[in-house]
Amino acid sequence: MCSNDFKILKQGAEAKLYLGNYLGKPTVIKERFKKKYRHPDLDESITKERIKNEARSIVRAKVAGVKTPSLYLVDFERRRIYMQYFEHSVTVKDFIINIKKKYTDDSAAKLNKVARIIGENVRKLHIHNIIHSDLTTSNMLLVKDDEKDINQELVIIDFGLSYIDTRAEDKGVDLYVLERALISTHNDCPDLFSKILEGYKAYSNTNIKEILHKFEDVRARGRKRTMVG
Amino acid sequence: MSDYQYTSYLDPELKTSLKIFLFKNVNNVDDIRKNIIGGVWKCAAIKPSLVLDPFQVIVAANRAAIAEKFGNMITKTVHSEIIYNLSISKNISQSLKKFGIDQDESLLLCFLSTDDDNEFESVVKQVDGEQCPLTELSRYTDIKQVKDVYKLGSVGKDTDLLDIIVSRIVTKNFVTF
Ligand SMILES: Nc1ncnc2c1ncn2[C@@H]1O[C@H](COP(=O)(O)OP(=O)(O)O)[C@@H](O)[C@H]1O
Ligand SMILES: [Mg+2]
Repeated sequence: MCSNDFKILKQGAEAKLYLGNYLGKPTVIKERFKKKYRHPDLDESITKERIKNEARSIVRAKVAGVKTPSLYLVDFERRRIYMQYFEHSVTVKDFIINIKKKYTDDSAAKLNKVARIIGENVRKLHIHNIIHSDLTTSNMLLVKDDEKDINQELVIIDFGLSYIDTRAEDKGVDLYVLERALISTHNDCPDLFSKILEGYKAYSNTNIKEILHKFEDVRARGRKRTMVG
Repeated sequence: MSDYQYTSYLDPELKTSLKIFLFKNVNNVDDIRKNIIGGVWKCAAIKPSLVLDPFQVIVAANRAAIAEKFGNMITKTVHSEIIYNLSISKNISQSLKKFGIDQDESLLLCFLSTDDDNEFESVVKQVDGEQCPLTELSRYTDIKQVKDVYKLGSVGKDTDLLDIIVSRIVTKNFVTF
């Protein structure tokens, strides 16, 4: 990484994230690194595909009314996406963990509110046939509202595995991925997913029966698998 | 006059900055166009009516300069590449026509320059018009036309237009809108 003044923010399994100033804006650079165990040509085409998926869905989500980072540059040569850094944000994961740590009277209300917002936003993506494929609470940010002390606006990130599909089955699987992620990360919040699902259902009726039906199917199959395995 | 000069640094690997000048009541638009097309002036002339914010031009220019560096420009010069990038259409001539100047009385002139390069000064002097601070850009922006060229007719009222516009600019080669 040759750009000056960029500091490492996170090191993931697929990408390194850097933080700095670019074109006068606070910016995250997400740089996907080379995987030595893959053939170089294959590695390059996989990386290019991930970058395209990520950038494409980030742009489409905006029109769906879901907040995502602004894109400043998509650079296949350097395997990078340059995007808006949300300075005053926390991941939903940290937000929930913090609420659980110092439990107060309004904790439950706060959690319910966030859950509803998550449900609505996932629903917006699905209405526009955007399947995220990696819905976890680390891939959602809450941006602080300057006026009040409440974290309100939800941002969805990390669309590298996303794709466009109209089928109810894919939306059901997307919900199932989220449910599994919540169980493993927030097992002290058993109500979270049902609250999210309420938000999801309340936002729009279109096709909802079929999606929930597929979700139940996938979940039943998953349960069978875990019982056998 | 230097108050009216707006400079923004681009990607640090490029060592290039972008200078933007806004003019109104321009009388010699034909000469300007000829000088640019003939390669005499190395700059881009853009319709301010289609520019919502200077950042829109910065993002397009940065993408153009990066493409020049890596040798994958779509158009012939880095300056026409800026104009091409502003458009979300892949059609080159339509894009240049849409965002470039025609018989306009107001215009934006954009230069890519290194620190010791002052060529822009002599060009700016040859524009027969009134220079304005770039902070006045919004007076020239036509939101309806902007929404039209960026296909933003159906978005909600409180949508951040600049956010969608710059994100579309940098993905135009692989996303259809
Ligand atoms: N635009 C952003 N603004 C603020 N923080 C971000 C942004 N993008 C990523 N992050 C932080 O970096 C982490 C990893 O980013 P992500 O895109 O999910 O990469 P990975 O594929 O490694 O999971 C996120 O969980 C979040 O904490
Ligand atoms: Mg992630």
